[in-house]
Amino acid sequence: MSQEKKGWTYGMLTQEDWWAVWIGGFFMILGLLSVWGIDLVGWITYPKIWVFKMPEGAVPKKIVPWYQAFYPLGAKYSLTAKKFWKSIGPIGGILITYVAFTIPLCIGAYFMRWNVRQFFLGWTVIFFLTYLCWFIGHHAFFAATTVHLKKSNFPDMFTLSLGGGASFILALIVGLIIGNFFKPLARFLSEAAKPEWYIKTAIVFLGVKVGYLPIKMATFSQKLGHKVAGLTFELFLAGAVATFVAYLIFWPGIYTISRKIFKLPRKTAAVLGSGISICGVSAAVATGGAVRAKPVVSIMVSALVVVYAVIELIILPWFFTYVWPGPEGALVAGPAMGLSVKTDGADAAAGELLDELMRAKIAKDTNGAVQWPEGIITVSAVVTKLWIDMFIGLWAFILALLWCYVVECRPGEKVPAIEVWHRFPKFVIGYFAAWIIYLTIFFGPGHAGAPEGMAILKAAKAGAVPVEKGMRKLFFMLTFLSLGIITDFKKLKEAQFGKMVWVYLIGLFFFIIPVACLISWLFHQGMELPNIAGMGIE
Amino acid sequence: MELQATIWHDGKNWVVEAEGFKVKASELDELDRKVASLIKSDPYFANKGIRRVNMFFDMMTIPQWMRQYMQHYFSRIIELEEVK
Repeated sequence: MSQEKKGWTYGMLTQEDWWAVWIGGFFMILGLLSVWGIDLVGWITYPKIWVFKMPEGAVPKKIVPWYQAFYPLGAKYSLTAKKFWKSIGPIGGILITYVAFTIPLCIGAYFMRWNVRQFFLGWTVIFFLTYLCWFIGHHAFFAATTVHLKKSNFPDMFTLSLGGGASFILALIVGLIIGNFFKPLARFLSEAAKPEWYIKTAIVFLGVKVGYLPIKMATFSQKLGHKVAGLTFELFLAGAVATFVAYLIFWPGIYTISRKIFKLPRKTAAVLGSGISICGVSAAVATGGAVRAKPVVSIMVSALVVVYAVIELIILPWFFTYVWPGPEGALVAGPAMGLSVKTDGADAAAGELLDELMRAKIAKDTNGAVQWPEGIITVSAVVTKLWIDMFIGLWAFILALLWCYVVECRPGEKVPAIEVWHRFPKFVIGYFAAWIIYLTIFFGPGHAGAPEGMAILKAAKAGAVPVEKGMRKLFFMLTFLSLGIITDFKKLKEAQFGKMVWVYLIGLFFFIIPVACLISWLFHQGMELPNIAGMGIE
Repeated sequence: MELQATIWHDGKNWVVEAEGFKVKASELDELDRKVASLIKSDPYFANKGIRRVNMFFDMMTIPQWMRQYMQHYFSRIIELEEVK
C-alpha cells in the first residue's frame, strides 16, 4: 500500500491525465519545430476517399484509387521534407506511425504500472484494426459527398455522404461486436482499450487545432483568420456560462428525481446525480469520494454511465443532424452534445461524428455552395465538456464540505483543499497550452495574418496539420474502437441495478438532454460557421 | 505531529493502515474512533505526539477500467483531539 503524501505533483508519472499531456505535448513540440524548418511529424499517415476502380474521365483528386488510399501528411503539407515523406509511401508511413506511437505509449503504460507486454500486444491489434476501419470507412460509397464527387469529376452516383464519420461509426461497430460477441478477445485487448487515455491525448491535439484554425484561415484570408479566432474564443466563453447554468439545474434536478420519485438513499442519489448530470464516471467517482460513499456505489453508477454514454453516442449525432436543430443550428448542437453525453471519450467522439455529419449534410443540401471548416463543431462539443471537467473538482469539494460539516458531521474530520487539484483534469492543461502557443504564433510573429507574418504562419502550418489532423483523427479512431471494446450491453441486464437504470433512463432522456438543448440554444443561438466554399480550403 | 495512513474499502469494511497498525470498521465514524483510541493508547504513538492522521485513499480499490476516468477518490484528515 502506498503511503506517500499526495502533494501537487502527485501522479505526474503514474496517471493517464498526465501521460496525455506528456504524449500530446511531445508531439505538439515536434510539430512546432517546423517553424524552424525541421519536419519531424510528416510521417503520420492519413486516409483519402477511395474506389476500387476510377470511372472514365475521373481525376484522382478528392477520390483516389484504392492503392493511394493512405498517404503520409508530410508528402502534402511539409515545406522542407515533402519528397522524403512521399518516398516512404503508405505502408512505410503506417509502420512509422505505429512505431512512433508504440514507444511513448508503452513507456506510459510502464510508468502507470500496467502489464506492458499485454498492453503492447493489445495496442498492436487495436492500432492495425483501427487503420483497417479507417480504410474501409473511406470507401467512396460511405464517405464521398457531393463536393468530393464534383472535385474528382465523378459522375453523379448514390453515396451515403457520411464523410469521415463512416470510419468512426465502423470503428465503434467493430469494437461493440468484439466487446459483446468475442469476449475472450475483448479481455485480451482490454489492457490497451483505453478510450479515456486516447481521447485525452486527442484533446491535447485538439488544442493545436483550435490554435491553428485562425492560422489556417489566415493563409487564405486575413479577415477569415480573425473571424475564426473570435469564434473559438466566443465558444470558449459561452461554453463556460452554459456549463455553469447546467450545473445549477442538472444536479439538483436529478438528485430530486432520485430522492422524491425513486426514493433512493441520499448518498446514492448524490453519486447518481453527478454521474447523470455532470460528467459520468469521473463525477461519479469524485462525488462518491466527496460524500464518503462506499466505492461500490460509484462503481455501479459508473457501469451504467459507460453503457448509456455509448447509447447517446449512437443516437444523438444523427438526431441533432437530421431531426433538430439540423445544420442551421450546428453550433447549438455541438455544445448540447457536450452537456448531454457523459464521459469525455463518448462526448468528443460524438462531437467529431456530429462535425462530419453536419458538414456532409450542409454540403449535400446546398449542392456544395456552403462548406464549413472541419473541427469547429467538434471544438464546440468538447469545450463545454472541458468546462464540466474543470468544475468537477470544485463541485466535489463543495459537496465534500457540505457532507462533512452539514449532512454527516464527523467530529475531527477535515477536508483538505488540495482535493480540488487532485480532481482537476490535468489533460486540460495540455489543451490550453497548445491553444495558447499556436494563438501566440498567430498574433505574435504571424502578425495576425498580415503579409509580413505569412512565411512563419505557413511554416507553422506544415507542422500543425500532421498533429491536429492526422494524430487527432487517429486518436479519435482509437477512442471509437476502444469504447466499443469496453462496452458490454449485457451489464445492464446482468447487474441488479433496479431503480438506478430507470432513474438514468428517465433523467437523461426526459430531463438532461432537453434542458441541455435549451441551455445551449440560449447561449449559442446566432453563432455562425464561416462558409469556405470556393476558397480552396480543405 | 502527523501520521500518514492509507485508507481503502474491502467490500465490507473501511480499512486504515499505517506504520504498525491496521484498523477496520464498517462505518467511518467507528473507524475514526478506533484509530483515535489506538493512537492515544499505544505508547509508541503517544510518545510521537501524533495529533493528526492524513488518510490517503488507495485507488487499487477502484476497478482498473474506472481509474482512467478519475484517479482520485478522496483524502481525509482526522484531528485526534476532536474525535468523539
